[in-house]
Amino acid sequence: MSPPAATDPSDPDLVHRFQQGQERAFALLMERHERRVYNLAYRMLGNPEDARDATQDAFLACFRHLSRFRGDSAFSTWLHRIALNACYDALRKRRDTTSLDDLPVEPMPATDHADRAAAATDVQRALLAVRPDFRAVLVMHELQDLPLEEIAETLELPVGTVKSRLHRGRVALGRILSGEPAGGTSNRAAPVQATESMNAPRHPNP
Amino acid sequence: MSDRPHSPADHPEELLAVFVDDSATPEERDVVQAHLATCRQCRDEAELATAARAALASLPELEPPGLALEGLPGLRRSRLIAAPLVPGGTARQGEEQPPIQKARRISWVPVLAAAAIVVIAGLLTAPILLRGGHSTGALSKGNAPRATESPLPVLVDVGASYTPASLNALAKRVASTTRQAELAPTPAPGATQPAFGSASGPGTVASGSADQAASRGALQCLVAGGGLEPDALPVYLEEATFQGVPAYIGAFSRTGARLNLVVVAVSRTGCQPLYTLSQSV
Repeated sequence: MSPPAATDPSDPDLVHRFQQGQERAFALLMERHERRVYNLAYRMLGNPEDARDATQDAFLACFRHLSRFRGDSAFSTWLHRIALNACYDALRKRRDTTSLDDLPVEPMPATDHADRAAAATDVQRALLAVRPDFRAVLVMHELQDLPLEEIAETLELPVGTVKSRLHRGRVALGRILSGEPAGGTSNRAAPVQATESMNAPRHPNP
Repeated sequence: MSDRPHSPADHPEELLAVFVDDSATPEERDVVQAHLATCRQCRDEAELATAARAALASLPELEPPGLALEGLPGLRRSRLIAAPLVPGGTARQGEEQPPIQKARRISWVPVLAAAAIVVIAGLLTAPILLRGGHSTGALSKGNAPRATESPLPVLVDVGASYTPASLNALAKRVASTTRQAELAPTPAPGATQPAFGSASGPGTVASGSADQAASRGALQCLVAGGGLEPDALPVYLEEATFQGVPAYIGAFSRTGARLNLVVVAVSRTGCQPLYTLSQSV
């Protein structure tokens, strides 16, 4: 997310304007948050097509429910919850049709160093082998720099649980990268293990 | 350091998380270090966690696909949303008002592709829009194109704010769509027109007189300010801001040895050029 400039309206302002009937406010919210939502979706799903679809789904759900958003949490927190639900939906559909292990991982964008791009591809591939509920915490904390408290609010979990998932997710990723068995972290186990976060309201409470 | 057995409940996972994060309090750090001194498993895990953290730091942030540029017309086109779109909101004149239907994906590319097909078909079958004139004189009232000669894209306004980077992203998307349209079998000109129906939005054809007038006004401004070549055909028109300046954005296809696309931004006031870029198709 690009931080709004000092003169830009805040998220609460834009939400309020939208709720007053100004459609343009939603386009501005999309513009402001698309990068963060897309990157979350990409890291959760591993390819640009699914990430784009999940981002669209997230913004559609946001659009449909924003009129009832009361601002009990920050808009960005609420949107993250919606985006994660969209990712879990995509993973659930994918689980019905294919093995996650078989999914191709899209090459990362070219960087100025080919080795770096290749290494990033390996890391993304390994990340996809981490349980989705652990992966979500890893992505939000390590890649999106969200504080643990905000992740806990997004997932509607105690902070202690988020810390535990963060540690387990890191250890699982470390094992995969080092070629060790991840041990209880496969995607096969994910649907059950991820139940807690998947049970976040399908349409988060405004 | 002498290791001793620990029950699973003894491993301080939560503290290890903040320890590896380097955000543990001094007290927490003491507890973790005392535990690590006697627990090989947690020492191994802390090492793995640190390595994973470093690996994740190598992942770059990715460029989003630019869904925000498609804005509300794209969302509307998904047919998930019934009018009015927002409390107190009113739909713009001529805009499609789909009923709530079963969800489907926003399918933006086919719409633009269809638009490009029509434009390209128009290139082949209708008088070329801007032929015979140069820049400012090309679209004077006397020789402005009529809708019957060549369809004009509808002028989109979703409140978008462009920068050079986002304009470049727009150019790539339109170019990609044009490429797909070019590769697709060329339908009969009459057959493609109904595909647009009454839909209004980026890439669709301005069918109402108000839409046509708006599109023509933007087109005149773009041609005047953009210094476009005579064979440029508009495939996309938008009212937006460019780096804070109220602007018209236009994408024009040019035929030649290779089809390419020119994207132009001009100020709405005075039609002054703001930005031009070329994108091969």
